[in-house]
Amino acid sequence: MDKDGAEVTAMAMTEAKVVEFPVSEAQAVSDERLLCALRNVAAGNLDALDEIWRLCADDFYGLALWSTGSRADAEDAVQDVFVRLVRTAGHVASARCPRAYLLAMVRRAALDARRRRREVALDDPAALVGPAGDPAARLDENRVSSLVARLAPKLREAVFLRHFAELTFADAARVMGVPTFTAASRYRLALRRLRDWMGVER
Amino acid sequence: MSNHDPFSGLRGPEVPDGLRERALAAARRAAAEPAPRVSWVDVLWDSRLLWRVWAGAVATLLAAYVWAGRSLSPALDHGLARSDGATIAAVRADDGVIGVLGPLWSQERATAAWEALDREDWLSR
Repeated sequence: MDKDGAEVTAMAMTEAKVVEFPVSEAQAVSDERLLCALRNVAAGNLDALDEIWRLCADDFYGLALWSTGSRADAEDAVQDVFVRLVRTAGHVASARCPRAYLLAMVRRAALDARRRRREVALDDPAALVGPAGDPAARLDENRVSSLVARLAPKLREAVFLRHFAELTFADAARVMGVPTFTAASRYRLALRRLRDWMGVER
Repeated sequence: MSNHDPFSGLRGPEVPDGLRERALAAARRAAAEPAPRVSWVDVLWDSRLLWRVWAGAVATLLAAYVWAGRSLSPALDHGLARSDGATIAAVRADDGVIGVLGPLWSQERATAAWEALDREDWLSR
């Protein structure tokens, strides 16, 4: 077992439970709109693809980029998912959590791209995060990006799904195809490493 | 652990210009084309079930070989053991581990393999 795997397992064994936060109201509304758009696509209304793009594009591209480390591969993965989506929208709509299902499709497409390339070095770490919100509270995005780039891809995926896609640990685990404890442990391990690298006291 | 957020004030990567048009155009083209025939093999391949079945079959075969080698090794004192038409030759390697040669589907090949071994040395252990 590699070092990451050993640490993840050790953390999973020592953590008695995973604390889940309730899904926000905005997220629930967004999920409802996504479900509606998926049903419309399944019924043949392709204009609903625009709505799906508005709701999911940031998460799709972000996850693909954090997973592959390549802009070109990330773009291919997102495009591939939309092509698949028009044929499987009805199936996706019947999933328990359509957003998680779609992100799992993105992750698989990104993994395929990563396997084809056989390398995981990020071609532009500075592109991993961007500025938003209060400038006073903003951290140096270039520094954070370069630190994120040092994380293993599976840790990056966990951080992105939990932090930026705002999935619950259970849904993030479904996307990554691992147990909930493992997803939570990967997330915490990633944050711990980032804080250590940033010199933040724990 | 503190609540310090390493991503405070930051958001995810920005979607590149033009990707939306490309992705939606590709999706619309795909919708206009007839759906490709998806075989059960494709479904199994995508789900990785095929790989799991294959890995399970290999593991089962290996376990069966090891079991056969161990259970048949006493019979090898008196020659080769036969099972379901196949001859399974088990040998004790120099390091003491039971290894398995076979199944050897021809009696001639099995006998040749057996003769090639230091049978006397094995029997003397």
